[in-house]
Amino acid sequence: MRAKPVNILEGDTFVVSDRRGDIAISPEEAQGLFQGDTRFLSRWVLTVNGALPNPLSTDDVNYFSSQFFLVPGTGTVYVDSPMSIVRQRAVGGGFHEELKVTNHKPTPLDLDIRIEADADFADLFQVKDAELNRAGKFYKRIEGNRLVLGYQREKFVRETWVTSSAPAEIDESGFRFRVHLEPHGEWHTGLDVLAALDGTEAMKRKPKYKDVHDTPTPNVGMSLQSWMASAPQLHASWSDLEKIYERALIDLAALRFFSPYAPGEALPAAGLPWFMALFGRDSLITSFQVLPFVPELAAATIRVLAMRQGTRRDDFRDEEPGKILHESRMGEMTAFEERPHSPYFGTSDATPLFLVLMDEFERWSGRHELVTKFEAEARAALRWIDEFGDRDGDGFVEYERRNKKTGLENQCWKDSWDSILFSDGTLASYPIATCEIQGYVYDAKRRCARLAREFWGDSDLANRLEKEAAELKQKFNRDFWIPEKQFFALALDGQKRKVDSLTSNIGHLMWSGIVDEDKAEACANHLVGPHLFSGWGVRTMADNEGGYNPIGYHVGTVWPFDTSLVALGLRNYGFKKEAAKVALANLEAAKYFQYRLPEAFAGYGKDETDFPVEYPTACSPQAWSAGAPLLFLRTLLGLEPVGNRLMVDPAVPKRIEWIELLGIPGRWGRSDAFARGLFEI
Amino acid sequence: MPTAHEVFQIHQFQKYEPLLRGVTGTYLFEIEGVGYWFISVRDGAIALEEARHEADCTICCDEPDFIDIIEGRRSLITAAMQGRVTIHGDITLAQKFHGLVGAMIESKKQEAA
Repeated sequence: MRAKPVNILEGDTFVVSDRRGDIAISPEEAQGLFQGDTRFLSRWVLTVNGALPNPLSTDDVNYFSSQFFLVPGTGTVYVDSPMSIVRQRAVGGGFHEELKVTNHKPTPLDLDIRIEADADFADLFQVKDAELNRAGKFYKRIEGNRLVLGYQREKFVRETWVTSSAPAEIDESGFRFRVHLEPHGEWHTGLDVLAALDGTEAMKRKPKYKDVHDTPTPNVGMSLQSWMASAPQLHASWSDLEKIYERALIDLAALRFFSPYAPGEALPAAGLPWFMALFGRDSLITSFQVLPFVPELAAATIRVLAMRQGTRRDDFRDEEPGKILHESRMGEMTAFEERPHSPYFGTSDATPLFLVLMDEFERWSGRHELVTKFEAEARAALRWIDEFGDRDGDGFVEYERRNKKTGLENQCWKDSWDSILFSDGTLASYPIATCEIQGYVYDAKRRCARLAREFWGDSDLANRLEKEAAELKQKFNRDFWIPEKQFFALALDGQKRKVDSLTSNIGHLMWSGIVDEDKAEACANHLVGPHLFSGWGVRTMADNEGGYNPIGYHVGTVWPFDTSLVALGLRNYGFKKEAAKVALANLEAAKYFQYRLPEAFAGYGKDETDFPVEYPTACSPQAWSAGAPLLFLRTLLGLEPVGNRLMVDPAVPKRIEWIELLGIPGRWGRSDAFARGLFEI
Repeated sequence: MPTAHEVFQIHQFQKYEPLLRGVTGTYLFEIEGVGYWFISVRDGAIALEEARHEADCTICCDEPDFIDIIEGRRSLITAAMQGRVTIHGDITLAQKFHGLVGAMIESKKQEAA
């Protein structure tokens, strides 16, 4: 079994290394220094006298820093090592590494210390797909005490600049230090690795941190300490809950980065390592989850996504006027249009979710200037739903990619190619109208009716939207409901057949409010029933479906963000105990992931395993997984804005004896919530 | 293929552009070896001048790339990522311009249809 890699991050810059601190790529290991979707270091290997040292201990000092304690191999456990090696690394705009070697013997030591460095400048898409054919040319040069590793394709240039504070012999493959250590002596050097985006002086940056113990200053306009202090303070009888909460807030700060498209607006990257980029859906849902805790995230999300709203029909990017983007990337393949992510618009849910968030932000914050400022963008999004989202005029939003080569087949949150399956395991045909998107559209239209009436001065639009929402709800409950199974179809496929698998999507429907009251209890029973509920959370697909796979990305795993929306949906329909049950299950699972919920974990039941089983390539941290515990808290405490006041209506299980959440921000200023655990689950 | 002079003359970037409602700022287009065009936007109202002034956002490229961008054959965003176009100053304004070009192309498509 491979040792887990060490990940440290700062915004969209991150380092993945082994337990020694080395970076050495292989088909199995996607290691490196990454920034802007490009790998700026693919080799960074320390040797002492020609041998790799052995790791004693590795310590994550902070989200952006780690230290590695190493000793040279002695060939036997019976001989103590004569020296120790400490590497301390802090990432941000590249990284800074302090390398220290200590002689523990009363005799001198002469050492040949070498750092090998190389960069393949691979696009993250190439790293992910292990396809490293390159169209440009590599070069290396030595400029004084600096090693420059470079890559050029036409005018596209990426360079890595490496310098050492201690004198070194520099060649094109790295640095050599010939070190003489006196008895009990010490030697050290500081190594700066800079990611120079276009290879020019103007773009050169210093590493953000010079010391692993520097005060963290995430991209949130304040220190980490201030960020934590500005969020509501949580106290609970269950100390694990406090740890999960603290971890989530730190991860949300660490993941924030400044997109080149929107300097000055820090948004969360979706997840480490594959999704360290701007994603429309992820940003919108994360912002929704954390609104009662970190409201400014929603404001930034609305501004950035409004700014990059689609304006044209572009088949390559699946762009249409009024559509909200899916994903934005900066690597070589995107630059040369071998991938459509500049940005890519292949999502049908981000547009209604944008409208949902806009309304939710005003409801919580009372700040209506955004709703007013982006009225035109909101109207364009509403037009997109009717004119482009509903492709065939049947009243439902459906999708089918126009970019057949590199576009996404499924343009809903379950966006892997094999996620939309009938109960017998067969694939649905396109165009596909997934159920939850109809729920989001229903919710968006209802919410925009309020905005139109209260802020846009357009009661005609408000009346029309309310009428359309009511019609959609009626039609949806008729066309998606499967009476013999007592749940809603996952989707309607290209032939308007009901895709009849039982999935977690029915929880999103409850969140949206589109479910008729007389169908809600059946849905709730499914969500906490033995086939969808694993004991650790809600499976994406029920375990008795033909397509179920406990380690299938969207067909059986448990996604914490998904479970968090399910919990709120249950709560919205009055199923308080059921909501608490799924929330508590996920929070219990977090303990097994060092209090950090990953992107997803396996769907094995709690009756099969005493701990939640990891999903092999899950991102962690992941923004909307970090947001999940916050939404669980909102759900458990029953937090809801009512006019200018915060309503608190707790429904907390006895497992958590008491919770207090102090200083919840909103249109009321700051308010507190207290709860006692009252019922068994 | 038109020249940069013709493009600025043809489009004149209308006197009022709804897509730029709420946008205020200045652009300088530096077309290498051809000339400079200064555009001022005030809440959607546009004024164009063939002159070189300090601007909030400077977009610099060669003439063929500029024509390709204006006519929708090349994206301003990927051209900047490739290093074919350099953008200095307010990137938000550059993106608004990208959106405006998209809307102009879309409107032409609709007229043609």
